[in-house]
Amino acid sequence: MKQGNNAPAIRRTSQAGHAGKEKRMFHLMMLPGMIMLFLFTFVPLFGSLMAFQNYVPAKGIFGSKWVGLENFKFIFSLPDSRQVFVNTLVIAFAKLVLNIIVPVFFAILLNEITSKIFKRTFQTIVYLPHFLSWVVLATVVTNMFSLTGPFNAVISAVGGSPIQFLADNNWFRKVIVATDVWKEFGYNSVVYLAALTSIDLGLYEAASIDGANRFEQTLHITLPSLMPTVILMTALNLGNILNAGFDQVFNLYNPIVYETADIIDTYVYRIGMVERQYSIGTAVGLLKSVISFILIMGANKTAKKLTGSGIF
Amino acid sequence: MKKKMSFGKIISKVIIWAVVVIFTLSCLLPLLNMIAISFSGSDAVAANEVGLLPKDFNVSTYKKLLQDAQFWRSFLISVERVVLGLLINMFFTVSMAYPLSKSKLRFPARDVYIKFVIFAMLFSGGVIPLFMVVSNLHLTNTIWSLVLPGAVPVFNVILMINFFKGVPESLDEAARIDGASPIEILIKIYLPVSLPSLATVALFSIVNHWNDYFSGLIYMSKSAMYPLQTYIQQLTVDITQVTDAEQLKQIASMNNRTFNATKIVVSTIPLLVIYPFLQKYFVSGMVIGAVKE
Amino acid sequence: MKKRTLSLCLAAAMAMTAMAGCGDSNGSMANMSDEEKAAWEAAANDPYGKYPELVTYTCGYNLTAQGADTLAGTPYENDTPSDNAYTRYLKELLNIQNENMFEAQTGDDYNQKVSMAIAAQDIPDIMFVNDYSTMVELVENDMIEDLTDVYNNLACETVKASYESYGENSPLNYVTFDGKIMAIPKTQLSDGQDFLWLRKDWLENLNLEEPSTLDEMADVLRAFIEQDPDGNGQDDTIGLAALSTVYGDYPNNTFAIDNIFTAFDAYPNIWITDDAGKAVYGSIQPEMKDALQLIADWYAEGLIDKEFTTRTNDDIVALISSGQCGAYIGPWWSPFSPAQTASYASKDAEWINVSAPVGSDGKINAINTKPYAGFVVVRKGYEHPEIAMKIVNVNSEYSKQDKTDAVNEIVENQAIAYFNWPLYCEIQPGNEAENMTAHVEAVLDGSADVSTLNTQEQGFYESAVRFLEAEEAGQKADSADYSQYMSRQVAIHKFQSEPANFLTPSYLETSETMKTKWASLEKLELQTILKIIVGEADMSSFDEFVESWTAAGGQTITDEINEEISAK
Repeated sequence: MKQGNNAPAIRRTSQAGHAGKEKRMFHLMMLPGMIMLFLFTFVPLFGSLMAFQNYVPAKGIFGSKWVGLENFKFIFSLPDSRQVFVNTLVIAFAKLVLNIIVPVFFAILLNEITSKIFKRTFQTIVYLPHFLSWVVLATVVTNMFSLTGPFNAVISAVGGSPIQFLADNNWFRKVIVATDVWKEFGYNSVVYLAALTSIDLGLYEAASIDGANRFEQTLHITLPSLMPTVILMTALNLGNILNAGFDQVFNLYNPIVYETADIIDTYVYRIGMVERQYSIGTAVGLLKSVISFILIMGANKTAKKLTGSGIF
Repeated sequence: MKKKMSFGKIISKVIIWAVVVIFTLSCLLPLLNMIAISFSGSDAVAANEVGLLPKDFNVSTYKKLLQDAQFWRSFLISVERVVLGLLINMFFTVSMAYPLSKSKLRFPARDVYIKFVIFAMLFSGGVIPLFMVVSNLHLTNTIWSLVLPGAVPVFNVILMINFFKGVPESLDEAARIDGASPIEILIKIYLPVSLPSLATVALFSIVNHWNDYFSGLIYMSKSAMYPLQTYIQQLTVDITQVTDAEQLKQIASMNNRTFNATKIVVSTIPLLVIYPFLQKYFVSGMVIGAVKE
Repeated sequence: MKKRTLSLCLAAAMAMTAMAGCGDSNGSMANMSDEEKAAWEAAANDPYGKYPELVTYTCGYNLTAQGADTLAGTPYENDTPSDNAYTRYLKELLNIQNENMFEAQTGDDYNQKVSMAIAAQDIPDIMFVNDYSTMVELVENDMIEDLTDVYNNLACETVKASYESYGENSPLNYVTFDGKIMAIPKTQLSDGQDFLWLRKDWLENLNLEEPSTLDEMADVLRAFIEQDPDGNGQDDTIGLAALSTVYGDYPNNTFAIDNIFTAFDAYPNIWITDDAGKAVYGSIQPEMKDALQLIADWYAEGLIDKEFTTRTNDDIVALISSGQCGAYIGPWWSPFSPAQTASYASKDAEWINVSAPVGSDGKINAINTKPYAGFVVVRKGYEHPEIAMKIVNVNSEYSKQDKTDAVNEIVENQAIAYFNWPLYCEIQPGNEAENMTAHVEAVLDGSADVSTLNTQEQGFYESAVRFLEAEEAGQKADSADYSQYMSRQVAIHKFQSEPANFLTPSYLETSETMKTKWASLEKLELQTILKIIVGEADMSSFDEFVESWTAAGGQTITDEINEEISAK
């Protein structure tokens, strides 16, 4: 910017014209994307009106009966809505935190491995569980945590009494969070590995000349450099704070752990099983979107206040 | 002195290797199990007797899947979709992320745009309204129905905005003074230094397009036009849902777990092949500092 | 784009004029000679009449569950859902051709397509819908054609007799609105009572009698876990397998243990008629307590799988096929399940179905089911509504008596292709499975000739012969033959020789409040039941459950249902 300040007046006016041109160019660059978003996201949003209706497909949105806030009232009047909401938050929050810490940790460790072949092999392997669906993994997980599985074998080897992890309200959520982190950490670490590559190697050289060891370098250079990505991912994942992972919970839970395992999505699913409930499903979805939007915008504002620059 | 340091280094190296290897192994075992199941006899699989090595080794499920003409048709549709979808996604990601990565001073409207974009990420009208839009645009039963509704990958755009923000302003500045247009700056300066991040979002796009089975199910009315994941999904038989004596005979001959495992293995291989290509951009450690000023 | 829209408008306009043309009774025949007219009319009024010219109809096509396209290498390699053995047969016979508006696998996928077609107000000429509520929705919104005349004029004898075989509970009752038949209901076969399936070889190893009462059943289960029935010297067997949802989803929910409840005259998860003639909910009746007490005791003793709450269906199958479990409750077709086929093939298991546990009168207490399993509907305004009835006729009657090559192709396709009749609707008498078994049995014991069998029965007969031959030669039969023989000739046989008591639920639909509150009530119920069984809660929690269930909407629903019943 310094250069610009010192430039002669003539140059400045040409820059002003340039800036106007640039803005127009920027708008132009945004245009195609905004058209697509308008068509495929904003136009279909009229479907959210179902949340205020008793929607019947054969009648369509324009023919169905309007019921105001009836569906929302219904959601909050359910005897389990509080429990379900709390379960969702607890599971989603634990996942949110650990799905950042573990991948960052792993990315940093992997970055320390100098052998390119191993590094790539390890990275490829850990990214694979992401592609296995929970329907398939459920069998693996139930076997691992069953009375005859390896975890209970360890427990009885050290003299403990066996635990039915998946039928125990003290354990179920822990298993859910742990297995989810295990499944996703490799895939989640991709974005941090990409961020690691943009760290200026010169910084490490300078630090090592100053006598900082590898651990100190990690603490003072690597972590701070990853922070913007970490904050960004946290904020983006806040949008999922009410999504605790339907597929996973649905495939692993059972009525005995409903009190700790039942989440919004599984609950709405079961309501829909009795009879398809377009309106209630839409109302819940809308509610989740609104909360997520507020959270993300709030996170952005907080970040702006704290660090001076927002996330987005 | 020097010796001592390298000893400490060795210890930390060992620990790091140990942790990474344990993490990796924990991911590898279920995959090996899946592969073993896919090559095993269905009776052994049904009895949960397959660990890391196949039992009653056979390749019948692979034969069944690979001999199937529709499998290959769907495979091609998926490839076409991934290529087209990737190009479209990357175009929108880059063209939107660049202006949005600029400060409010240079692009005053950015905050409004950002709000729209984030709104679009979180809100959706649901399956039926989107279907009606797509069908009114006469896109159903075409490849476009698979790539256009998700043309703007908002999550990737936001990631890219932040990667672009990390590119030193000075590079941009210099080019602007030389009279380069934003598009020239984007292509000539930003893209070359952003290869690791481009590879990341490209990977996300590819994975999303490859794995998505739902849009195929919704927008394609003929099973011959299904992309691979949708087709593969169709092959699943949920034996718990069979209450119809007519279906019994057909199901008797197959065990869905062996077949499921085969499907997973086969449909994951393309992703496994593609990954190393992209990986090289973010493992080798591009040094942005080198092109700095 | 514009051009396309324009051409579409034109097409629509043309279609409109065409439609307007057929508005007056024989409009589309206006330009025809009398002879032609007569030919069309004759075709339309004959159950198997062939149209003078090819009639194309749009439909929703159900693909059947099929592992993979196994047509590779067969003559049917190039078949498609609009050109396959079934559709060619219909074309040949009736001169009609399907054009599929959508194709999807039976079940959720297909239902999804149907609801989108309805939402887009663009349904095919003819389609099959699974849900009762969807059919009612179509009727209420005037989207489907009245089929009264079509049914009365064209339904073949088999169809009519099949509906009649359901007596007062005729499937037609469910599609009749203001005296008009609005859909053709697909029949739900009565699949009889569920049995206790036991490892016969284990019973023999331990010199045990086939159990009948609850006590005898407990003794067998006890022996199965304590006396090393497989003789491998290891304590590795478990008791009765059970579904984590315990009961429900009638009829014939494999691994559900509802027979234990019904042995106590407890009928959970359905609406039953009490002594006063009112509909009440089975799960909250006092009889439940005795059943629960017994099941909890069995669980504590290990007679019921200790980990049943966390097992998936695959897990249970694995337990059974690996030879760790030799007892479960399941329907007549259980021998088709991989649980049995795998253990038969690799563990030399032999299975037997036993009528246990029985109620106080020495019979299994079972629960009747809905008489229908989906509906064929015709789009309002479609000019050939009779095609729907004709296809159903061919599917249910004609093709079964026809022994030409074309039908053999269809029979071949049943085993290998994922195609089916364009309308997934076969209409059979409620006890058809039993009838077929009886026919095959008659041939097997020499009292009837093979020629008396229809094409399907012939397949069963051949399987049975192959199975018996293998047994005689001391060899293991093909597991497909095992499944056919065991389920049809052995298990179904017991429907006759050891009949059960059947209770008909007083209400089978979903009442208004159920639509929204049922998930919540069911959660309460399952939580309580399971906790009592595994010993996490005692019996007093059952009374609490009944109270909260009633207060949380159960009473409202009960009242609604009684009102609905008395209104009928």
